[in-house]
Amino acid sequence: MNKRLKVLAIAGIALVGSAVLAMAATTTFQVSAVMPAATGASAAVNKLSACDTNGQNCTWTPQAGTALGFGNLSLVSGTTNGVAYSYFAPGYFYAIDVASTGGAGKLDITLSYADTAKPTGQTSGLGKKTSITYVKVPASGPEVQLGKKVLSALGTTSISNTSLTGGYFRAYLGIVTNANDTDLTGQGAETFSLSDVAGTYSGTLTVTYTLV
Amino acid sequence: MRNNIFVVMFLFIVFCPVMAEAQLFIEDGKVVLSASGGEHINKSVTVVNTSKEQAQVRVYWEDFQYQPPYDGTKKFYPAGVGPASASKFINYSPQEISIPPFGKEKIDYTINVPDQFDKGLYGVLFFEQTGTGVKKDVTGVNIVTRAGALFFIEPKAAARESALDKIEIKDGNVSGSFVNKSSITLIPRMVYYFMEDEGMVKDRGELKNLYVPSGETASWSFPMPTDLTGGHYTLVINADLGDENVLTKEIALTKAGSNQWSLNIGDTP
Repeated sequence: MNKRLKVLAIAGIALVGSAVLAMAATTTFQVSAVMPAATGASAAVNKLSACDTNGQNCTWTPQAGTALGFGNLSLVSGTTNGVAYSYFAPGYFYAIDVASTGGAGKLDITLSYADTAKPTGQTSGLGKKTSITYVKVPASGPEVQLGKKVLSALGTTSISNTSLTGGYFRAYLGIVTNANDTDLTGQGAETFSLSDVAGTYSGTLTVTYTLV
Repeated sequence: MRNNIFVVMFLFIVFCPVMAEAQLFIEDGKVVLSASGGEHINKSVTVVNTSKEQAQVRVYWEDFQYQPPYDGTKKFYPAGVGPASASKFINYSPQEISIPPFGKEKIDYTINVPDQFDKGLYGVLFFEQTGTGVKKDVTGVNIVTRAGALFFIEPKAAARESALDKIEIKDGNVSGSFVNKSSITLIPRMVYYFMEDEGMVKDRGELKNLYVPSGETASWSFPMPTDLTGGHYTLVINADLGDENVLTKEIALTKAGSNQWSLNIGDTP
């Protein structure tokens, strides 16, 4: 055995010996950690434009901030089955992805809305002229529609955590283009028409996250 | 080239989330405090900005109460308006904060528990991101996101009294009601099992969580097992009411023929 091997052998024995000595004086340490029942909130907004006639295959453009402007609305007119229609719309709508982050707890989401401004002399605010379609976006497969309302009909709408199992929450927000949409029946949905007062319409949509 | 694509994809995945508005994370989403009358409680809630953007945050209190069907759905009220409001007993500071990217801030709160303290007090401390809002003279919707820390302030050793009532078997389901007879909100964790005469457990399961305010009644149900053979069984339902309080209900069942069940209910303390 050469000298280098002897040194290695002695070092190995010393290591084993010290380990045995250490085991003879073992102390048990209890290790624990508590994951807090935490809750978090964030919202990412995309503008959807240049969609096909079914509102699909749109161009998605991320938006900075959470102020969703519809700009100056343009008149859209034509006929469907011989019936003339005309309304004002922006030609785009928004998708709001709500990412809820949590620790050990389950989260639920609540939506509420309030008009904040409308022109003097105008009866209906933006709440009756904007619809929200909220869906679950699953990890795979098509979106699952959870509801569709005009904003003024939201009241306090709760999205239970169980309805979002396996996915996350997304809301599509757009100016109403069909007041006779069967999903909006009985909610007083209105399009922007020539009978509305010109001016600025605005409102606030509040998305609330709490643990269950 | 291939490596470059992976690098670009990795960077996209890592940095894509920060395209969103500043994100808030509350470390204490549920604050449960047991207190005595006249006690003063000083604590804090920590809120974290998990984004690379500065977060302007408004802090305010609202009341809440769980709503039917008591599956966790809540209704929020302005401070002092909701039932069992804790709003007039709590002070917190600051009420406006600016959190740096990836930073955190503490909101200190003091609760002055009333001298006569015999029922639960509740509320939620909201952290609302104050954005720029829709520009003036522009038609549009401003999205406000807020995350809340729920507060449950309850008397120490408050009696947790409840009952499981109106139990019936119908359309292949066992159903009944949970009655909260306590002065505090109860969140029972309920499990059940079917036991045959020899004491062997033949089926078991867990019910959906219920969130039942004081004096309210919630409904529950679960499907009957279909693979049990005819004979006598005992259905045992345990409701863990918290603080080492358990409500147990035992129900004698007889299965005659295919899915012909009859029941005979008795209580155990």
